[in-house]
Amino acid sequence: MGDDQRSDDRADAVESSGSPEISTDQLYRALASEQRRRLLSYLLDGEERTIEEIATVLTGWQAAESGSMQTAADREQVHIELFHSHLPLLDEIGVIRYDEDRGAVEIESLDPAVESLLAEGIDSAPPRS
Amino acid sequence: MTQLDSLLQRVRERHPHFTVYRGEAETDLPDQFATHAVNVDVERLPPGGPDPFVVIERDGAFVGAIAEAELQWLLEPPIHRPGADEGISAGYRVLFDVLDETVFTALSRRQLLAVSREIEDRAYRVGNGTLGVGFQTLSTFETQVDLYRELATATDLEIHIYGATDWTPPDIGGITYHGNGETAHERHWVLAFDGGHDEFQACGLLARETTDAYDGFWTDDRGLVGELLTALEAN
Repeated sequence: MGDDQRSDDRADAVESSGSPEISTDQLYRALASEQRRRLLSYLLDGEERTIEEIATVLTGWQAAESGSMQTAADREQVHIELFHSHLPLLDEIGVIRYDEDRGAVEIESLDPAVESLLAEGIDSAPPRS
Repeated sequence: MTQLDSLLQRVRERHPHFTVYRGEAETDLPDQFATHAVNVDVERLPPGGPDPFVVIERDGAFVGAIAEAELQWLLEPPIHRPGADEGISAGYRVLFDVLDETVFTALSRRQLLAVSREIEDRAYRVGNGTLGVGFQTLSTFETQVDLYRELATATDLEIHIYGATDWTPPDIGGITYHGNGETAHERHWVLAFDGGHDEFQACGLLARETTDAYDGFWTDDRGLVGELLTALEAN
């Protein structure tokens, strides 16, 4: 993410939340859920993703983890949780930008420390060799 | 569009779509599925992600996701598959359909001939049932007359030959000719055998000539073979 982009974001953030900073408490909440850690990790490359793409990738992640075939019903469950819980929460905290009308999601800004934490592998499982 | 064309179109559209999601790891899955009825894409995941996995879609809708490692294991011979009564999930069903229904995108004349021989040979071994064969023109059939005479006299097969009537083929018991006009309006290569008394032997081939190759499918799917025979009659 370039500096120019970040300064644009800051202007928005100041208006909406009064501060571009995310409190430790909020960050803790954001990262408390494994599904949200995975979601943020997926968005780290800065690409805009749709809720459909995210639901598919998170379901695939479950498949990779469990070793068993995930079904359309599993994906639907992931989709519902994204829509009703994870995306609104992360949007409110300000770590993602979620355009509900278009179903588009983009990472907003993250503390570099958190970013590297996510990039190193954020699953509760031990690091893979 | 002829019935054969719309059948070709329908089979193409219901092709499943696989997407391999992976981080740094390389994958040879697209190569492994190169000769199967599936399009395989590769998407890269940012670092910190999961082990590679494969998303299976059909008609544009998600039907399943599976770890790539799991898929590799399923592909190793002997191919392990749950029995039909195990209530397998849709993802597995699509996967096994893909492995069962071999389809080509670009196949040479030589390869098509090999598949055709296999279908004719199966019909010969079963010895009864219906074998439908479509040629562009009946004159193309001329080079095959000896082979089909043997097929018709040595078996109880009902053989139907379709093609544009630019040549008068010899009368052979067991063979019925269906001339469809004087111009070869379509460039289809079609064979369909209903399996006779053993419906599990049903098999069919439908290909359409493109500029530099053939495009189409062959199948052991009885329903599809039936549709092929119907489309041949209607063409």
